Amino acid sequence: MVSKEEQNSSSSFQFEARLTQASLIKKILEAIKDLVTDANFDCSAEGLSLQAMDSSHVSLVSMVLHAQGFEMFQCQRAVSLGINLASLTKILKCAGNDDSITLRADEKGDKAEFVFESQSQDRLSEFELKLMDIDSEHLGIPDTKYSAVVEMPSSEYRRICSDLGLMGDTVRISVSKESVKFQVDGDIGKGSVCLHPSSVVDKPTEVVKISLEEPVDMIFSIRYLNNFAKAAPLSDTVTLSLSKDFPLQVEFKFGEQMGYLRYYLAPKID
Amino acid sequence: MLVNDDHSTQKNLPSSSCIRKKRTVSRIKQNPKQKMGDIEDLLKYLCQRDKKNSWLTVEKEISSFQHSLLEWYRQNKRQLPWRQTLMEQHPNPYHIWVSETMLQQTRVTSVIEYYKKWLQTFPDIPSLAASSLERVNEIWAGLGYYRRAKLLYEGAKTIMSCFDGQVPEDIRLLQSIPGIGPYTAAAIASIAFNKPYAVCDGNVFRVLSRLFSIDLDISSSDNQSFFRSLAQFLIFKDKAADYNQAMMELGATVCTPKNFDCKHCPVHHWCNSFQTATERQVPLNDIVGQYPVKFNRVKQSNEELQVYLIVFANYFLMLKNVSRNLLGNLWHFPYVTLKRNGNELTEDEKLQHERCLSRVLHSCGYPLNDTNDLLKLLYESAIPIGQVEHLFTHIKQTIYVKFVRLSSETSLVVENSSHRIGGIDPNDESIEYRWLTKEQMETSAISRQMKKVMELYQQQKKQKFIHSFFC
Repeated sequence: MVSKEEQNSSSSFQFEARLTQASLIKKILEAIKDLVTDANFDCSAEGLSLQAMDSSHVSLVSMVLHAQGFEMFQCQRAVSLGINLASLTKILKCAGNDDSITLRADEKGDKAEFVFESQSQDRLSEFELKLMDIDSEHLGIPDTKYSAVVEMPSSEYRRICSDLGLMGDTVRISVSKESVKFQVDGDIGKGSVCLHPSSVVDKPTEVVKISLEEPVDMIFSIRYLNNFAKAAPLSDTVTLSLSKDFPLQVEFKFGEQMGYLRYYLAPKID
Repeated sequence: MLVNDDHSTQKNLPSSSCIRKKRTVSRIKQNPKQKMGDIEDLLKYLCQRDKKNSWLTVEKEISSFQHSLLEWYRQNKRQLPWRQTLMEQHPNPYHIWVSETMLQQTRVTSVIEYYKKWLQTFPDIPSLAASSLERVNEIWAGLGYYRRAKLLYEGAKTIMSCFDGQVPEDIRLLQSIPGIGPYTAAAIASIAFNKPYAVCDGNVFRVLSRLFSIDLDISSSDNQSFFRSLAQFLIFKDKAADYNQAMMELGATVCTPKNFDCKHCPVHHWCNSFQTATERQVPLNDIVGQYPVKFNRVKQSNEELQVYLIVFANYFLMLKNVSRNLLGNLWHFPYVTLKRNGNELTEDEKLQHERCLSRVLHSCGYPLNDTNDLLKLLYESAIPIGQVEHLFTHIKQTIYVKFVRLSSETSLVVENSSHRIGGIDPNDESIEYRWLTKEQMETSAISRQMKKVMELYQQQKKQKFIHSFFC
């Protein structure tokens, strides 16, 4: 046991990091907890990251929070925190959106500590979460030059997915130079939504941008795309990257230099 | 307990029963008297429960009840093809017999055409008896419960051989004829021969339960005897044919399960549940609609199953259901029952499923040392591909489907033919299994729920897995 007095300026924790706003972590959790039940939070000198497949092995979540995005970030040795996301949700419920959040893990690696401090510093709450051993295969995601990259408002993405999800199970996404088209063919009928790149740019967050190497036309399960839309509060814009016969990448950036949440979805074949 | 005179010990008399004709007749006459004690108990029971039922002890009331009912029937009866014969002085019992048989478990509207077609083809008993089973089934085709057609045919032959082609009037003799049980016998005896036997179908049970607010479960046979005795007590003996039909007609057209029309009911004045609802000024449905009381004895239960699609190359492992239940002899994918009515299965029960599966895999040459190896296979390599819902008689099944691809490096003996493996342990039942391709499955005996599982797999197959791109 290390007594209080012996603790000096350098933390006794293997890992300690503080974010000024708990809301970021809360939103990240909301965005992944329905897809993944348990996940390893990997802490290294570069930052905090998470990678997990959903239980059906159809999609993959990859989250990175860069070290420089934290108010304070110390990592003596890389540690992996196995966390049940439902349990973490319960703890994060206790944090106010504007609270600062400090995450700590000690050498033993059997628990993680969460400290929430209100902006006015008159309220401090501390929680300990028991960690779990999670066997998970870490998949290597190759660097890819995608054939088509579409940037659009995340609210638009969310709306399209939820609207088309009412009609059918699968959506066909076709990207050409002129437009990106989402088509659904369901039991009750069919429909499509077509977005054209914006010509006039009033608000940067309402922009639709398409950069194209070659046109693509692929089919995906709407259920997953809808699940990804839960990340919309994290970012005003979302980027869809597609290549033939390759998983779709749906990316939400947390702002400059902070990090990102990426989803990968395996395509369906005709 | 009330004894029901309809339940004869001679129900299954051999066809030589014609010889015993005389003896049976003498016995039936004593029977109603034996029941008197029971009827007194019954009346006492009903009157004590609710004094509104006490009109049962007043002869004048019973008589006006009967007359109201009969008068209503005279004016309101539906014109149905089998009622034509009732206009004649001697109604044709064959017609009653055919119609009553067809009406069992079947709606009036679907029976009408079949009844006409039947009588055109077999206008009388000799023509039916001289026909063939194929012909009989042809005419019946589409009406369902085909056993009834066969029994009518056999009944006709019995009547030809034992009763000189005449339908007997006696209720016991009637019951000696194949296909004629207590209900049909009472219907023929009362409707065709005006004998004072009350006929009790579901309609009559309902009418009586409302009339006296009887909260007994009408699906229990003891309680049915109670209702039969009550019906027998209320019958208007001189006009049994009309009275019985009036009761059934009332239940079929006015005193219906839902949307009953108490306002136009000829006997609402005597009806306990109607009067109670009026007194309390509550909606009729709150009282009248509560009868007959439902006990939900066959409660819808639910089951959660975990089905494993165990695939080697393009073969799926299937097991045969060796039990004698409804799915007996059908092939199914291996499964483990997880929950029954929300309760987890005991470890022992689960283990039994798992043991069964490990024995099968072992017998195919899959390297499994013990059940733990199997669990490892099932829990670690199985990929969930979704779930299907299936309603199977009264069981709502939720089937979770997992997909397990056995490594192509293992050398398995995968054969198409069915294999039976005996138990190692005396507790182990013998198991039959086979490996089938998707195409072969289409022509095999597979239950509906397993077909649904396969459909799910087919859909899912179009969905690629993420780990086939990233590794």
